[in-house]
Amino acid sequence: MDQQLVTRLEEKGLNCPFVIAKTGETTVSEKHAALKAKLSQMGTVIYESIGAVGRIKIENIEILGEAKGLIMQVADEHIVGGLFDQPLTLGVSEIYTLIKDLQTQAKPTVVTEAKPKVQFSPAFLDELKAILKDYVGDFTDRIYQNQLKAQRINANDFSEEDVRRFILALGKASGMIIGPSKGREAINKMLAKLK
Amino acid sequence: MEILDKIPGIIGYAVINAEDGSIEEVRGSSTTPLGDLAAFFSSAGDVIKNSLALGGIHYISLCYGANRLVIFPLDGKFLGIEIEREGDPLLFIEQVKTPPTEVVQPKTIEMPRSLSSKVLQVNMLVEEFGGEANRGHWLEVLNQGVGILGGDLLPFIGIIENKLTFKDTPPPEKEDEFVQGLRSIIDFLVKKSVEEMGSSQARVKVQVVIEKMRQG
Repeated sequence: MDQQLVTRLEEKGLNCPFVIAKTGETTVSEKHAALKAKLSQMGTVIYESIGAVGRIKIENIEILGEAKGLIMQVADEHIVGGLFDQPLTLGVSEIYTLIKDLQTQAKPTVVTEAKPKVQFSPAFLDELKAILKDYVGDFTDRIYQNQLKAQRINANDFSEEDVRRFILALGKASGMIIGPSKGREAINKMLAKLK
Repeated sequence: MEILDKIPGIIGYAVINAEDGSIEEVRGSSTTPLGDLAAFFSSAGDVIKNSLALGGIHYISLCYGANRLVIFPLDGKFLGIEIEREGDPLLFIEQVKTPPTEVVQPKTIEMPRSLSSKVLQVNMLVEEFGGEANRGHWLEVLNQGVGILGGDLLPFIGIIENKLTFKDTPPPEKEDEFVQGLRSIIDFLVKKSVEEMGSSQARVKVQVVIEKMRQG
């Protein structure tokens, strides 16, 4: 799957595309096989840095140098990106669109033994908001809307991971008003709704 | 690095010592740990730059949620500036390196009275609650309030010379929303004052501010 993605990215003009799994397994095109170990090492450095700063969901990373640049999309289990000579021949946003589109196309159509996806209705977010109101009262709407936007949650289509991230952000923001221990209590109540 | 406080669109920033990777300064209203992010990723960038022969780093950009952190080298430091996700990193780096005249000598910003009176009220509350001795603490409290309640206000406002200030003209269509945001920030300050000094003393100080505002 990763090899197919790398090949397609290369065909679309992405110079030295790569997929680096969190496990360290790295896929590059044959043409760039010599860089495989270095790219794998780079993946380790990125994952370690993300791990060190905690629960911030970093989605895209660009490292642009004088001679070369890296553009990467980061997911939980892998990084997909490309190493380029400067100046870039494709725009940064074009590259992200390309990576996203090809990743979607490369997904297998039949998934066996896949974990069933938990479905949430928008009403679930209302339940979280009701809990939040018990803690922060009149500040609820403001905190809720700001965090919804800050965490880029689509209220009509969100995953369990989105919800967890949203709850933690709500709890952290609330903690600044009601104190950290009450903030944690609010987080636990909201997380209990997931069970 | 005071110039960073004045550039519209910069929500917060961190200054990292490029020699030892220590965090020298973190300012602004961001609720993201900008110091940690900038410190970890500036040293990660250094390792990756050497390993993959990228050449001198122009910038590192990290996108998360609605914002992005742009990290770049300047005068033996790494600066990490948080801007909106859609912001152009190069444009901001340019403004930091060569600040435009309107940033160095801020122009008067035209603001509707609804907003200017709220900003004035915020600043008077901070002054009244903190006085000379405790102003730093109350500016920190204000920063927290702005960070969690400011929302779309964040790129437009900042604390410049100990005062909450609009750095750029607010869009007219956002006036109502911004007024709401500032009202929440005022409520937040009052709530904190009650917690810290008790309701009767807090009430007296709020009354002083109301009286001063009435007198113009």
